[in-house]
Amino acid sequence: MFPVDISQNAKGRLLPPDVPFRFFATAILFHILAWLVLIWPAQAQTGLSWPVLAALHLITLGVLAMVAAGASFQLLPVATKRSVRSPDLCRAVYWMLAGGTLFFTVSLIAGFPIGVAVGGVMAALALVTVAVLLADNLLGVDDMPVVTGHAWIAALSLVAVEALGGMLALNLVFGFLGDRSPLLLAHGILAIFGFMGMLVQGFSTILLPMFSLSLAPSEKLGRIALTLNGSGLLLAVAGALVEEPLALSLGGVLGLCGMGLLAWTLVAAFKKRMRKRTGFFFLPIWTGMALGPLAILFGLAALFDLFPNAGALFIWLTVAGWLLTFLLGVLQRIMPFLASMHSATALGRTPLLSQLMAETLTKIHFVLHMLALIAVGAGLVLDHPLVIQAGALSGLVGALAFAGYGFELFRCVRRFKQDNI
Amino acid sequence: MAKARLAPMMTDFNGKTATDIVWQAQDGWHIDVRGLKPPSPMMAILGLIEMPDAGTRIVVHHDREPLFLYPELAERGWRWQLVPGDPGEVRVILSREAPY
Repeated sequence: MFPVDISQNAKGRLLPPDVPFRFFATAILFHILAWLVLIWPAQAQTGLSWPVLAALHLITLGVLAMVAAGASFQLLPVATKRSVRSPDLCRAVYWMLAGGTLFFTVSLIAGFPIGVAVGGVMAALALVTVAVLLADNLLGVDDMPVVTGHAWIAALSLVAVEALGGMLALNLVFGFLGDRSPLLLAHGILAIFGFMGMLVQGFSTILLPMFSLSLAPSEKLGRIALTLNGSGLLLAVAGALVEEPLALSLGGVLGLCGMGLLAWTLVAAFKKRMRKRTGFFFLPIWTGMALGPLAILFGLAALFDLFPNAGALFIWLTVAGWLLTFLLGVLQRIMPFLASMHSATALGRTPLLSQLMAETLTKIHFVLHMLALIAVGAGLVLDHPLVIQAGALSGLVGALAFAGYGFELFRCVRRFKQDNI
Repeated sequence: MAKARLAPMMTDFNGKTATDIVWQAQDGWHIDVRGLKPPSPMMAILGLIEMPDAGTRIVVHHDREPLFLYPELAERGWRWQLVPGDPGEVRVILSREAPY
């Protein structure tokens, strides 16, 4: 038999498993915490109160950013053929992000401004480091322009997000800013559409074809979508900072077109897939992708005050409807994939994906997650705290089901390793 | 035969066709996916192993280790082994686990 040579290239691009999985496991815990905060009786109030802001940041920082960081550290090097510079730096990022998020959100709930500032700065430093590591990995890569283009926009947006976020957090203590609302809006747009949105859209052009075994989507149309997304983001942020609704709405329309075009190319590629039976997995993915453009439409509605609480609904649909639904869908596939890859034996065996994925638990999670989305969204529009709490309860049980999925995966992998010593 | 059946799937692989990247040698089928953009390499390799006459041994000539391919191979009853290849090449031997 030929000797196994594992010294060749890509093993160096596969991080030690503790690096990505600590991000994913912590995201699952923060997911549970976010719904818990939203359901807490003291949080029976609508609008962007401190506890609601805490729940929002538990989702954005604790779940979305955490998953994005862990997945990016692992997936980008495999795609770009360049190793991450330092796994230890990735671990340091984890501690700063997890600690900063916890400190930030607990301080928000407790009404402790200094804690909010400290936690915010910690999380900001962690995410700026993520941006630097991503940029370092992308430098000199000239293939996959749709992926790298979106990733560059995400990295630059992340730096801007953290600069603005840091200023807003410090302002809580020192009060040096006058009217914060343009900065708040720009911060939100850059965080959601600039960082998370670009990363999600860029990576989806690799991940979805990979999971469905279809060819890559049209690069030509992908470049057009990238241009639309980038220019839409620029206009929207500029419009937010100078408080110009026309620029904001034009930016929103361009982003809507970019998002829609990219989604269309993915659907077109998906239709010609090799894997005919995709099972349940793609339902959260397509649902999340459909909610993205819908969220922008509600954003435009909020811009022109078309109905009450449209702004709150826009934020909810964007963060929880589009990004959270989509990312959890990806996570439930990425985790078994990575676990399988990391469990490979020297004789070339890996645990079967079909045995690692507890599909029933993901179905339970998805149903409860969708109920939560609808209920909380309705509660926000109708200004009804009890409906929000009921929705949050559904979300919490769903999050526990998702955690069960993660635990079951861990159990299966451990059993495989014991059986194959 | 495998090359002919693979052909319809291969026309979109960055302009390359089946005859460009698949050939049969004494030690089994060979497939060269170097230069193909993801996920084309994985699709080409899986397309080949799913052919009835793909045999029990396939040599893959790649420019990166196909990490995401391994779980898919396991699902289809194939094993993998990295072996020394040319400079810049990642060579992987695929072998079918179950008899066919």
